[in-house]
Amino acid sequence: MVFSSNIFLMCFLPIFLAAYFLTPRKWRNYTLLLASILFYAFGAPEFIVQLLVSIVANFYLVKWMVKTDNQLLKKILCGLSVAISIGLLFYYKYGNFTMQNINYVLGWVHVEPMKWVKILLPIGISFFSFQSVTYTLDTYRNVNEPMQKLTDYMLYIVMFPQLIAGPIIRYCDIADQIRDRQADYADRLQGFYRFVLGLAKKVLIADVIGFQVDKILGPSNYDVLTSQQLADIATKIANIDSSMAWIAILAFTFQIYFDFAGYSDMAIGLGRMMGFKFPENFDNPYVSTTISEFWRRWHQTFSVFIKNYLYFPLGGSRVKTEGRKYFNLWFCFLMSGLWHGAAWNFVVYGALQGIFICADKLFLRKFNERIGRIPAVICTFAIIVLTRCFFRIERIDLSWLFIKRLFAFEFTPVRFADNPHFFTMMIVAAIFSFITMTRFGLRWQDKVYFTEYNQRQHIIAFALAIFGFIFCLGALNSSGFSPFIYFRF
Amino acid sequence: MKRLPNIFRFVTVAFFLILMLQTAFQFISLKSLKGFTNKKEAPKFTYENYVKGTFQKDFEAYNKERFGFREWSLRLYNQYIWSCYHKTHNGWIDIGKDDWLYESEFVRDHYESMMYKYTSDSTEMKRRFDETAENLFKLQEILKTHGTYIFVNMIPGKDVIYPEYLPENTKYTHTDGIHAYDYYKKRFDELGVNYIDNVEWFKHLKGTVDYPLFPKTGTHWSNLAATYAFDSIMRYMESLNGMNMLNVNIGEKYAGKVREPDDDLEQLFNLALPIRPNKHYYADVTIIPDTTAVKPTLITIGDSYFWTISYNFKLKQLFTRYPYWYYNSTIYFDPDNNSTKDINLLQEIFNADYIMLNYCTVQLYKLGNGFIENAMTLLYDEETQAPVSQEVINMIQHIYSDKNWLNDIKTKAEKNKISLERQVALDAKWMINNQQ
Repeated sequence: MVFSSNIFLMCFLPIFLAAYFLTPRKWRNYTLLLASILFYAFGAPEFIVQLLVSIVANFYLVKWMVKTDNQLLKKILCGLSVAISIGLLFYYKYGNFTMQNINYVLGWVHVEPMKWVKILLPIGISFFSFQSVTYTLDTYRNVNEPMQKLTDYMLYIVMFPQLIAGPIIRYCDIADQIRDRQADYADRLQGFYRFVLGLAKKVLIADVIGFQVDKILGPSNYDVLTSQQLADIATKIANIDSSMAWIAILAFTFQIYFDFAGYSDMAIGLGRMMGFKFPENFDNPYVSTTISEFWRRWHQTFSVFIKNYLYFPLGGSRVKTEGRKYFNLWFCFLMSGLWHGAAWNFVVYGALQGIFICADKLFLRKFNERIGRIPAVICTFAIIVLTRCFFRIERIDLSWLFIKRLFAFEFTPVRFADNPHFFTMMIVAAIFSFITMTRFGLRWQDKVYFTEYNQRQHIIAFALAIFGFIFCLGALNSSGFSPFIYFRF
Repeated sequence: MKRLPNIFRFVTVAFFLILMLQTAFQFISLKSLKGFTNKKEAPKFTYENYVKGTFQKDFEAYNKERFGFREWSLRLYNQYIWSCYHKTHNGWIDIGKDDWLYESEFVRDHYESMMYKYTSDSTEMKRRFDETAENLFKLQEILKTHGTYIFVNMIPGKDVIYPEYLPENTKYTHTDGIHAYDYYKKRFDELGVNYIDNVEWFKHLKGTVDYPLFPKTGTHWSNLAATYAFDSIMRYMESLNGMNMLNVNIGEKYAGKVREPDDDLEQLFNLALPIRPNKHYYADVTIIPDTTAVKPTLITIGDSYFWTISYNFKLKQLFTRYPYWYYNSTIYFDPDNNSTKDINLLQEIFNADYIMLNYCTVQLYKLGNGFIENAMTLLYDEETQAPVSQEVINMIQHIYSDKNWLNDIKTKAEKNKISLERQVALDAKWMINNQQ
């Protein structure tokens, strides 16, 4: 189940909210836990048992780890707990990829390929695996006390607002809120506004742009496509003119931002309605003047996770040689690329990001500082857009072909009138992506997102949110509705 | 102002509650969305469906069609799309110049010709058209001996009369070949098939009348144009067999509020506000009493253009029966029959005074929708190349009136992989031969 679905908006959410607020305060976590399990069971029925078993196992392993004084056993238990979480992630997310590559190598040396059954990827596995890792490691490092109640730990892992697409919440950031949290009516209302705002970003902007991107570049997620569909995509890319290629990749750059940021807004909004204060996940990433800054602003909770649980354990910047420091940086980005998807294009995407980060540290940042803010933003944005080719087109040869088409300089005129809805949404996306470069934009952002509303503002925002909710429902459902005058035979 | 939190709480709860209750019970009656869709059925929950994920998918699709206040939210969003971008999500409609609306298949027919949708080989298509025209002529002659008159009513598509407002062609490539209308017209003239050519007549009328022959936001002939046309059709019917039918008086035309189906395409946009006030002309039809007049039976077979006639004429007062075999499938205006699959075809044919094959230029390539072939199978012997005898006809009628026998023949036809009509004809002939 995703937030932008009728089942969630019209059935799950109203029933859940009613049940949650009718439950006495001390029992509310149970209501939320039950709803979260149902939410996940609806979307990934074949995986719910494994999820619950791994949660229970992790909880008791960590409990045992805390109790024992034996340092070696402590380490073993910690490793075991992390291995369960990462093992599940590896098996489900990278099992197919690993086997494909092993078989490729075996074929190369003329050995019979190994047989395996294709594994289906359970939704949200990357997020809850990471969260369970943060729980184990934060507890191991004595950053926080472990949860006393299994249900509280389960809630931390499976809480539905952030289960599918984050934000990745560190255990130390939310442990206290699970035990005790307060929310007044203003919090709940602002949570609702944030939810509707996120829904609008996703449905009104990202989906409209994404529809056009798919038309130009073909569908994504090549794993589920037939060889004919892949051949069609290859033909499309080979024949694309430079104008359409630039439009497509720019559009995808906006689509992915508004899609992901919209989803995060919805998660943060839902959390706030229940009194949780989830960390922000995006901070106007496209106004970054350097690639390092971009990664501080883009998917922030993921960057924090990588920093705390991969970069620092590797030694971070406190290493003996400069070479090792850059390797650590590059390696973290390589891994983050792989986290985004189990395919070589994501590895290339991560590696490229790593290279640009290193370049940033070496010379790019200084260069950007010299050229001034606006040119620096443009340069950084251009790097982001170009590297996105490897993100959207899930085959390296096709990504490369696409980049060639970008720079083939075979431009054809593009008319706004051919697709005014798409181009309008592109303009809207561009405005909202860059408006915070201005003081005016920053002021409005603060007002909308981070200021407590007075009662008059609440009345206006509430009316807009209700209208927006109904409007988004229309957008969500109008695309497939194409009635006939009469039935034909 | 201190009561505001409670008000917000109440409004939020009420909002979600009403939304949910409306989804479940549709307790507030809203102006329904126009047009036909294939409605999804409520999915059955089984463990297997659930684990496979098909239940979830189907349930989402089912909800998409039924959620509370769907009518409002869709109209609101459609209005936004139309007002801001001049677009519609309805894939069956193209927006022409000056907001003239066309069904997409008419635009395609204009630029490409629909017959190519079915075969790229125009020789094969011509052969099929020839066969249909020749069969129709033979059928016409056979039916005449039984007192039933069959004729074709050819109606222009909106694209034929108002091509100047069509959207620019960006996707179709015209292939050389002859259009079904031109081909049939030529063949009907050669063979002597009864037909009315509204196409030429409407083209002529276009420059002479001061009302639109097709409404700007509708797909069918305008209410007024259809009114005049049907008056002429009735006179044509009289000329076929000399029957004296009731006459109608068409009053003065007047501009009025839009009536069905003059804005049928606009209705499919499902907007919150009308596109633009548009002048629609109407005239009241009254029947002139005539005690000597006969009320015949008319079977209409064909496309949706007959609906416009049915809205404006009191057909009940003009005809004894007037069943409408929509695309030779679903039957309207007949209390006894719902589908052409369940009728005694010969009995229906012989009981009719007139059979009108009513097709617009876009649909002409499927003239009869199988009716001509089915009737010919029963009434014409391919072996002897002559109409079947009265004995065979009586036997066929007998088979159709005996449900058990008919069911046995249906099973036999399925087994032999031939049409029911063919099997009935074979069995009837066999019975007669063996009786002799």
